Amino acid sequence: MNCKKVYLHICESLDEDLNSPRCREIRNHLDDCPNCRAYLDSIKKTITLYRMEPAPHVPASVHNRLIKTIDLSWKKGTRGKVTPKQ
Amino acid sequence: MHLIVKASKNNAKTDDQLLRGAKEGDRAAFSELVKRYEDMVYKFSFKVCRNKDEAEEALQDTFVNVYKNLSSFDGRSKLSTWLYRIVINNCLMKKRRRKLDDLMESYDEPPAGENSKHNARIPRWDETPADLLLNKEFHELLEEAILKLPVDYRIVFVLRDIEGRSTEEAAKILGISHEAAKSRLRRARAFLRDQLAPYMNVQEEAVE
Repeated sequence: MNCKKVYLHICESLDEDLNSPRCREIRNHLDDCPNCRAYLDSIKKTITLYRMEPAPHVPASVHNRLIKTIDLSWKKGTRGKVTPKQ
Repeated sequence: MHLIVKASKNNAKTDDQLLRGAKEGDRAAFSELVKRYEDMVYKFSFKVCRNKDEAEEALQDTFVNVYKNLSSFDGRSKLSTWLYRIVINNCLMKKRRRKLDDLMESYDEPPAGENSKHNARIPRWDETPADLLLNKEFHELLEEAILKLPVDYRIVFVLRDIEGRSTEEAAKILGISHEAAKSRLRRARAFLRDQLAPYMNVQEEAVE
């Protein structure tokens, strides 16, 4: 397997069964290719950085507005009808 | 008191039982579903829209849509899959979809290596300490990079790499083929990696 092919499938090696034939080929290539190793490593670090980014929880005020909107829809019985935005 | 007892009973129910209850007009069952999934919907919307106001709007629109379409959910797919689909439709309606496929196709070429026009060595990135994320400038850099990523690609990246869904499920949610999802994911990862590359410290590596 050459660098171009590894490049096209390298991301799948993050998702696939590590013992699949293609993954084994990629692993063999990575053993001998510092460029592809550095590339895969930088992809993994990119993913880690985004995964570590904090995400906000639903603020209480937003939750309350949501419940109010739903209550209103429920009272109006708007299932199957268009609900006006709050 | 009656509502509290009902709420605690709903706590122990499965999604299917709650859905059935909501379809039959049980408001407490629907509220429990909202409680169970509002954080997931809000976080996902925020990760895709990158904006708290838009995430709130997507959250509201999503659950109003869920309520209106309760009877059409037949339970064949997972509830989370259905919810993701509704959030995505809401997010996409708000975002002007840019036709950037040509730009993204350039990420099918390796940045360096034996088959590349460039033979430059790809430097190894230094280990990234967790406190880097507390650095405001670095946080802005991550933000800027992901906002440049076309939204269709951003969605696959968020579903797979942040939410931890499989590419197969991401494909189902988006109604695209598994191959198309894999291709979008590969391009999205490569795009973000290239955006961050100039700002990453590189390791001095011994010549092999």
